[in-house]
Amino acid sequence: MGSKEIIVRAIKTACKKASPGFEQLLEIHLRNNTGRGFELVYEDPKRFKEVVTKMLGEYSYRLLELLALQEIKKELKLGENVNTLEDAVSSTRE
Amino acid sequence: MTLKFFKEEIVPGGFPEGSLVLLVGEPGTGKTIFAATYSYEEINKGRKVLFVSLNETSSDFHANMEKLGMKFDNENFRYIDLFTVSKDAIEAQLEVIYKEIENFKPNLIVIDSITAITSAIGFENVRAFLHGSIGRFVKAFGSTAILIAEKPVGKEELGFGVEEFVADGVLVFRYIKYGEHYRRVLEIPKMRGKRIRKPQYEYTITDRGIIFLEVPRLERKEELVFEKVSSGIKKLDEILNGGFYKGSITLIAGHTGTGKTTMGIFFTYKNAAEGKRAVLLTFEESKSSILRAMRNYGLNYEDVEDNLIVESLIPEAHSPVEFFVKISQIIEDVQPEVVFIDSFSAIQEHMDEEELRKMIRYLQLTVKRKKIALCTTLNLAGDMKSLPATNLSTLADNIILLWTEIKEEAMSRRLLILKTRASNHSRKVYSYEITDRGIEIR
Repeated sequence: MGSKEIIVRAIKTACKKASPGFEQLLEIHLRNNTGRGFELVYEDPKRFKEVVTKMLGEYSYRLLELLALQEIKKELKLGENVNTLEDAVSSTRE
Repeated sequence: MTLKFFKEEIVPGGFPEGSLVLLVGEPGTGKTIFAATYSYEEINKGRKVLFVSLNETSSDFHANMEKLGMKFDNENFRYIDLFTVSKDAIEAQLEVIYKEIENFKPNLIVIDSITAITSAIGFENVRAFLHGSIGRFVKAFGSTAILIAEKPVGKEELGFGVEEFVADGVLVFRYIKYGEHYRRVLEIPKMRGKRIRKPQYEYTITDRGIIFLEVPRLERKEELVFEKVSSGIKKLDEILNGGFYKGSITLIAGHTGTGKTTMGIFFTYKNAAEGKRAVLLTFEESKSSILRAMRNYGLNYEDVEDNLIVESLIPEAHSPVEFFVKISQIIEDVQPEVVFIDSFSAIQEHMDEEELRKMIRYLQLTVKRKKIALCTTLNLAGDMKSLPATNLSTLADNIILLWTEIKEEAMSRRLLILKTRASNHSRKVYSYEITDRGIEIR
């Protein structure tokens, strides 16, 4: 499985952990606002943050990010300096 | 809006630093408004507040608080809006909160609501979380934490049952159904380091936020008032030996159609025309019908509108406390010298005896403290040989009786001063007419 799939799956897992039905709700929100699904997190993490923050607010986005990073760091063996999804995506691209 | 009364009388000095205070209540009891007001006052003192909400988005919170006159756009305020998460995500959620506490170093932390967190962490961890994590943090930093706990409607116990033991203070917000409205009361079963004097404090939620019922207090050394105000009717002033004392209550009691409201209109209008601030509160008629009546007597409202406030209230829409708070607010805003309330009977119909007695007593204390001449009306029926034993007739300083007599196919109106406390008055029964110039006493 490639980095993109791992990061997208981690976001979906984070949504499942956060709240039942949240994954589907967020996907609808992403598609309505960008025409893209969860893959946006890898393709344009900055835009992903902007759109999700618009729906959840700054701190709930951070919560989702923390939950996703737990998975991503475990799977991709990323270092301690990776604190955001943008950091994670750029590390895997390097 | 202010919690001045709360901080001076209920919990003197406010919540102690380093304390963990639990606000408990059913939905709609005003817990969030209370916490927000407390926060607002802390910010205005230059202290930092971190408000964590799992109930309201940041934009909703700011919009709702702005309606109550509180603007939170301040560098000393940080609002964290989160949503309720499941068990698997609670650690990450707490990490977000703790990180922000660490960075911002607030003097006050509000969590609205703690129930959303405690239900996710489970019974076995509630005490450790409150006492260990939150409790130790506030003690170490000298901060204060206000934790809002939800209590389902009709349920007596709170959450897991350990929250109230761990907290330094517990405030319980309750509402009790009272006729067509709710009576809201605050109980403080626990507040370490503070002496709570009363078991319950009544409050109401208005467009100015939470307002506690302040029982008016008279100064120990009550100032004697000798100044009188006109009744608005020249002949009546002569009969009353100069009018009504400031700081007195006058009851105008009588049959329907005897001119009670007319008397109140002249009382407020004439005093306003002399430059005194006056309030006419009606529970029986609309403002427009009062203004029309004025016009019919040749009194032009526009000439006195800077001094005379006319307000129409619906008795059914107010609980006893709301009534008193509303009247007190008008008195505070207008600072009147004369007030007319029409009618006491309309209020009486919507209150039980005990509530009414309390309200009259509070009103009497307010009138004395503010040196207001207050007139109110009471509808009577029957032969007028006895005035119904209402509390108002005992507390009233002056009583004016008005009645009609029908003899030989003609109706005549009669007036008698039944009582004027600490003042001489005529004992005669007078005849009077209601003409297009108002009340004319012969």
